[in-house]
Amino acid sequence: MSTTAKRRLMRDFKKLNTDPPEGVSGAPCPDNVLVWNAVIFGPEETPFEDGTFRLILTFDESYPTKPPHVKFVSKMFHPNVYANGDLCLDILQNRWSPTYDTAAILTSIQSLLHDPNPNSPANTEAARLFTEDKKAYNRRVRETVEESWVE
Amino acid sequence: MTEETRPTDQEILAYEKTIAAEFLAAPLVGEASSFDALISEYENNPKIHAKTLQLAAKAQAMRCIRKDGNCFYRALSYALCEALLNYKTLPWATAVRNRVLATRTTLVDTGYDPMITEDFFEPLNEALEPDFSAAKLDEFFSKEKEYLSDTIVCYLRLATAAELKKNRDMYEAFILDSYPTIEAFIANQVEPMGVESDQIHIVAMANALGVTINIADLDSSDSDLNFHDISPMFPLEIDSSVSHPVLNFLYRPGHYDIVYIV
Repeated sequence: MSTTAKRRLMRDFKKLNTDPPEGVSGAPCPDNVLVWNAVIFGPEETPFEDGTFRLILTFDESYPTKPPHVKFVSKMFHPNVYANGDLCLDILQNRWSPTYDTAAILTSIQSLLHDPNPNSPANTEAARLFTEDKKAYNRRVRETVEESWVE
Repeated sequence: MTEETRPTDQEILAYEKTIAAEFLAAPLVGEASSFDALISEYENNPKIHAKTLQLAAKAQAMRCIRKDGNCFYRALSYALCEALLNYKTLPWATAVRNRVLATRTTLVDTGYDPMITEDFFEPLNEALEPDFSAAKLDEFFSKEKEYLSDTIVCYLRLATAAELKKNRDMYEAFILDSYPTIEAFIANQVEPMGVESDQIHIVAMANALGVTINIADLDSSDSDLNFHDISPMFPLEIDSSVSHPVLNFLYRPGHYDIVYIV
């Protein structure tokens, strides 16, 4: 494995520990520095509030020249999250910049919970309810919030 | 386009993946080759075909660069490292090395975190060392160690961004038509990997690295083959009465390859 990737991941870890952005946390698996478990707390004043949504980030030696693969483990109801937990987020696909670090990835996902992009739907039902029936959308999201506590 | 005919995002992503897989099968930087394949590629396009023949008459060889949106930086970094190796002892090489080293200061001065940019600088820094070899050059651009070449691409992207910020007065006029600020342009068109380069990126690189970039343009105009000579705004402090190495590239819409012209 490239020393750059390893060094960068250790630095990301240190930064997340000492200067964590509000509402996110993450750490490498004890036996594999390339696989990280992370948690995003649902942002306040959104239907995701109080949720604790778990994710897995998988890095390889090309990090940070290429983004990690990021996936929600918790069940999500969000216009830009696929049923299998994969995300539709530009910085993780065609707008990745190596200046982003793990903290930046997690905060970007956190703001995606805040501001879904219904024009680029990964979950068409969530996108439809988000634009047409906010009440039903909020109810469906609240269900996932409650599920996130008991996982 | 109507709603019915627009492919879904999933279809677009799947399509992009298929295309990407084809590109990714190609080497980052191909072997030096003749112009035969290029000439036959344009057999049915008389205007461009004539230009490929003119290029073949003037240049000795070309190297195909992988079509992944990083081609300009990939081509530039290979041509730069190779020229530093081949012309190691020339005052030109010493002056270029110093310019490349100076970009680190520009990065810090324009707000990049030195902890992070130093990581990106490491492979390029090795190419500046006296013991840099042809074997190392091959290793840097091998498919097996793609992250090394990608790291250099990434560093050059940041160096381009730093140059744009440092001399913003010079570049703003070309950017502010389409973007509100230099920073917005950088975030969209410079920093992200895989985003293609334009004239302004090339000018910024020539200025930052002090190299002269010569681009053979295979456009479909009626004229003879055009060459764009992009010289650094602040030339290297070396004897300008003798000729110095030039980095030569071939441009077709959306893509750059390396050419050798002696």
